[in-house]
Amino acid sequence: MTTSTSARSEAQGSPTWVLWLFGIALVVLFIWLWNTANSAKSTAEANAALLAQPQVELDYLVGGPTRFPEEFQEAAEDAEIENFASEEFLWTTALISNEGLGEVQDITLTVDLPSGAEPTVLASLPSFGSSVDVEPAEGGLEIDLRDIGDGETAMVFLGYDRGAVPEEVSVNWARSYEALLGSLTVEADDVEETLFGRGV
Amino acid sequence: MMGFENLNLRKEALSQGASTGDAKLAGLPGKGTLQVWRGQREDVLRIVGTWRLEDDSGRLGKVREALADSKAVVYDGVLDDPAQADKKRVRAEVYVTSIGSYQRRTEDGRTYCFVNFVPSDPEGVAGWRKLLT
Repeated sequence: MTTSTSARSEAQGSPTWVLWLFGIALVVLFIWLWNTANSAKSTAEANAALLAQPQVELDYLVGGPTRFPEEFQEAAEDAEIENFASEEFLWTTALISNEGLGEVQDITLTVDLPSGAEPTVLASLPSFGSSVDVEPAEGGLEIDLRDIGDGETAMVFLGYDRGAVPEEVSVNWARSYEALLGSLTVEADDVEETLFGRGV
Repeated sequence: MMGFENLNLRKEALSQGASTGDAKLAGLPGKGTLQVWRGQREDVLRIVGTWRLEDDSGRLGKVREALADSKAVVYDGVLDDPAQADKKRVRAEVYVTSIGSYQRRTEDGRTYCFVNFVPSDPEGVAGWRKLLT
């Protein structure tokens, strides 16, 4: 008699226990699904933000032909200059890198030169076979860099005639190369970057 | 004023774990930090600053104008110095080294503006006790 009662209660209790377990499993599954969906949404939003963000890095460095020999050679060839006496100039290099995830188009580099210096300009551009267009602008130069693809870098070499550079600047060029520059500005449709020199 | 070599301050500051706080540059409200980089003997290696415009709507032109016309401007905001347990605030004259802005390629086309700077008198900032506000 006792045995049969216990068996009946087990038979009646067992479905309840299973239902509880099933319910808990459902809740856990729902939380997991919700978290996964939220995480995927956040990742997608972050990726979309990255894709939508144009990023151009601008640097101004001392040196040119010795520091970047291959690119300089290529730039001199594009400009159809042979036996270029680069040692007669004091060089700086502007690096324009596209560090975003899409092409940056119609890029212009404006060089503000309050010192009145007139540097020789050579450029190594990522776009194939491109010679650089340099136009005089108010107080400096405007250089058409065309388009720069993602991960690519354009180099613009600015060579200042040694004879025209003040002696106090030329004697320690590595430390005073910013003295002739007012500013460099890279401008495209949706991005603008300005780097200030020490020229006044 | 330091040279340009490897001077991507915003990236460098962020890679150093800089956290920004409310800061004014040339009187304009935004978020920023002036970060002191120290060596193993707590000597000052560099002091660099980065700031971004908090509300960019329609004010980018004004920012560029204000910062480009007068390169020496006042930074009033967070000083992040590892030699100090807590972040302090500082008011110091700084030179703007670069201004960058970009517009997101989205429908809202929101514009973002970042400014990098260095103190005009690094010694003054290194001796930060004089400058804390």
